[in-house]
Amino acid sequence: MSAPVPTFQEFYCQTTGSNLNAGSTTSDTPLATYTSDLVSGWNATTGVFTVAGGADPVADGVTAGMWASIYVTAGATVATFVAKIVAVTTTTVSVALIGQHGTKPATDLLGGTTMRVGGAWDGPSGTVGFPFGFATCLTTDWSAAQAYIVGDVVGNTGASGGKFRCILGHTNQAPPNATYWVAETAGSPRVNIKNGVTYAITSGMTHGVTTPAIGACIFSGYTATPGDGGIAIFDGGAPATAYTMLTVSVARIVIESLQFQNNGGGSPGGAAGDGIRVTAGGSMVRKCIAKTMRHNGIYLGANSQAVECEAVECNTRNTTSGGNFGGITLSSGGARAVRCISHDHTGGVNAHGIVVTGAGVVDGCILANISGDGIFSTTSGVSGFTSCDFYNCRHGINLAAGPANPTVACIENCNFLKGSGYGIVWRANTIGTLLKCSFGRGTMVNASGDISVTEPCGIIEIGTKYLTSDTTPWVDPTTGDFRISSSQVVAKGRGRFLMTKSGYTGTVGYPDIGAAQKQPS
Amino acid sequence: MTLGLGLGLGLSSGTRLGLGSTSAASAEPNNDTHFSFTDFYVQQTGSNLNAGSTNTDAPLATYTNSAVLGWNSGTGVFEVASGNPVADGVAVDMFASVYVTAGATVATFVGRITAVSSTAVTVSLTAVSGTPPSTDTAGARTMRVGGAWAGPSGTTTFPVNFVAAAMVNAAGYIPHVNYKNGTDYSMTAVITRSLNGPVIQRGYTATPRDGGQWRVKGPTTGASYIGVNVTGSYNLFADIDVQNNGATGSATGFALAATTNLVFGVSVHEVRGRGLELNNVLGALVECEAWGCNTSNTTYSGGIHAATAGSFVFRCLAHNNRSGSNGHGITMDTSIYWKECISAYNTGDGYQSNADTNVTLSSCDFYNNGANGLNFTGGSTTMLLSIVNCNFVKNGANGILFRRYGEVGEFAGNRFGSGTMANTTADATTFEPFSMSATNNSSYASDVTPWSDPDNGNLSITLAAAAGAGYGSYTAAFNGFGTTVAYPDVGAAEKSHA
Repeated sequence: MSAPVPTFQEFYCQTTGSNLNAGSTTSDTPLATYTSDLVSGWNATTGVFTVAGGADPVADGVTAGMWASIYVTAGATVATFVAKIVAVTTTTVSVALIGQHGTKPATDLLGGTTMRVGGAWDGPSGTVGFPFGFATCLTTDWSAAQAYIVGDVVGNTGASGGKFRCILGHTNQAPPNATYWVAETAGSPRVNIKNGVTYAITSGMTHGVTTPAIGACIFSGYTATPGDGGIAIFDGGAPATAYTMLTVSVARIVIESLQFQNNGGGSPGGAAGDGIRVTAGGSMVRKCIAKTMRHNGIYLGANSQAVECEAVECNTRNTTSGGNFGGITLSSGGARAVRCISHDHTGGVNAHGIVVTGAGVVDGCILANISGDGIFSTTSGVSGFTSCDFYNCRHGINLAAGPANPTVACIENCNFLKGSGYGIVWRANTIGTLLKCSFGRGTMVNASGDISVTEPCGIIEIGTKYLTSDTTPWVDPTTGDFRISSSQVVAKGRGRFLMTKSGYTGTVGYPDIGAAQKQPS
Repeated sequence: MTLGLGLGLGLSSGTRLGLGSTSAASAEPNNDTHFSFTDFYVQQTGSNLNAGSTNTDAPLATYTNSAVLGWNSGTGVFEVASGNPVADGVAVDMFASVYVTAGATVATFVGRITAVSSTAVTVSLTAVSGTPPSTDTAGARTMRVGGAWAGPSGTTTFPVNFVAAAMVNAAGYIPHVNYKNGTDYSMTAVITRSLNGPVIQRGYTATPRDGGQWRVKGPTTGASYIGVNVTGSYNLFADIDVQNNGATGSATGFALAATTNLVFGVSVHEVRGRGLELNNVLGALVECEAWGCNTSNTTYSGGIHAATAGSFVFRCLAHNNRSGSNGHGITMDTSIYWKECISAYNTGDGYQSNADTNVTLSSCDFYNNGANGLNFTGGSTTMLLSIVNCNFVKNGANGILFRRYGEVGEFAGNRFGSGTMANTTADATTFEPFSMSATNNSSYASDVTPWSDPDNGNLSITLAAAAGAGYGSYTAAFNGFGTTVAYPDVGAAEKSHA
């Protein structure tokens, strides 16, 4: 037996490619380019593209399973329809029509349509956001009313689920009927954006392509091999009024290994000025970096996840106009930040590390060198802050005066050092826990105090620890190395498990206090 | 009031150093360094007519109102018929129970004392619980100063739903009701908390906040009912053990039916329905346990249930829910964050979800469940899911039966059993689109588990192959932060790396 391994259908962006390509290979140029002929041309009903001029797709090496971009030749700048090739003859290339990227062009018998097979996209540039706003999940939900041809891909929202590819044209034959459908083993599309050259944009990119119930789409930076973690950089320039560099307004999208830097100045509206702005639930921002943003670095306005991200130099405007801003903002019940580092936000007291305005969890995050608060929370819901480090912020966690309703906050296994304010500010009417947290002393003390409490405040406090004067729990926070190293916090965290059943010996854990658990010796 | 403690190098007066430098197996007492409370006490030898504000069975003083000024419900002045409150030691900031003498069984009004003279006691009309009895000059009112309550018994649920958030001392400290343990609080009716907080209700053994649990024990016969039903918001229930709630039906042991409550250190066992339930409301569960639940074998039920986006569950344990095919450890819906939870020895699934949007399972263990370790049922969409640093060992079907509609998210640092510890059907069964980012997942050596003695309930991590082997990567490119990396264990209860 073995752990599951995902598969992806890979697409590629590199600044030397062309956005008219199919995006399915790493070469700048397509394998072949064809014009539709004047007899059979491009048939938008059957998906058959008949090539003009004696070209021979077979001889060119075109095969089923490759991807083709088909577009109206005149005026084309970016691909509008990219589909999987299902059949090839010496004169035709047939593509699937359902569950493909974009919208198929109209039938054409005038030679006005072009097909490109393969080739990489060149990606976003200037005001062009492509392939954001174009790439889809490569599936659509099955419909009884839809006529399907061979190669079409659907998601089965019925009880048996799954993704299926049509093997016999028909209407109203629900999957998994084996006469018409076969399980689609090809994974979700992953758009691999090659790094090395910065993608310079001048306006916001939006990904709002409607997602089907079943399906996902991944946008991922890379260096040499898809998924290798190489980070591709997008630079927003220095416009007078900042804009949000990427807005994701649909579900089940993953933004991965991308860096967004610089988005201008001025006084943008509250929803503008962010690096990445996710407004739909069920999406993930992973291994992304947001740097020098006018407002938020990463904004989750729905129950989505920010995982293993970095935010630096955000809310440069130091404003509260239009909202509270910081490196990462969790603005929805269920939104969470995990293993993120938010640091060096130096715009002023309003430049926070993480802002929480909805019920959420912050786990394993590092907040450091922040002129605002490490975590600034106005939520009236429940929030959990676990295994985090706060160093050289104003307040470490500021449960700021917000809504009148009480709130629940659980803080555990966190370190609070060298704040210019308090380690934690508890607002009135908070109930929660404070379990096994440590506070600095000497030069590492939080200047205003460990904790500020506005009554009534009901917190279960257990095992608060005060570090030896002038010491930190980490290797060297001044250089950004927050690996836990001090015996003062190693295995000193909260790890209690309640076990009342007679005869059971019980379980106990010994986590470190802080984010980056020490490596066992 | 704002307190700034620990300023500079020193500790403020009254501040005590933390007790804990190690994680003990049992509950650790609070060190109460930074938080203060308005304490009330429940002990079965007390009286529910007392004010509840001291831990003595008898009140400090008991008075009948005079026939002259008597009790004035508009001013809160209680003139005593006899006795001298000053001489009796009654003082400002104590609490007094004032009630209609005839037929009284439980307190109906408790207020903070704001003035005392040799003939009268004045109570606040705002720092109170309950409703002041009507004005009386006929000697028909009684005042008790202090004394512990007797607490719930039979069909009496007092004072769970009596204590109000307003009943605070002069400093404004939150009401904290301490239920003394030692003898079961035997109930025959549901304990409902419909008032909003913030109020804390918590068990203790000898000293408030020492972690001792009080037990609410229901019947083992008859139609089941909810053991504790929280229908108000902003309440913190801690250190409670709920046992038994009937013999028929499928009522929950401890139900949260209103938003924004916190449950800490609560165990529920041997109940007909779900053990501990966030019943479609936002809330948090920390260090709770549920075993022997869902004896009715009701579908989509088990030890712990959570079903509202934004809720989180930390270090909770669901085990030995063994009612049959529906004896699940955890059931859930929507968007929940699970950290360091353990589900073991259940006859159904370790974890069964339905129609989720956004789920995280971080550092959790799934061992020897009769069906799947994780079973993502229901729904009809691809979901966002992160499973990180979890163990799946010896489950009766799949380690993970993924959703039929696919996933995006993160799947990293997970381990599966092999040999005699293998999951019977497969480590994982996936369906397209299975689009999670997968890193550092593998199997243990044959026949081993990562834990000390799981068959005897000790799932503390001991295996070297699990220690420090989890996924702990950070992404950072600026100002040197890229050097940070974590080495978490795989599983819930971290091995000591001291």
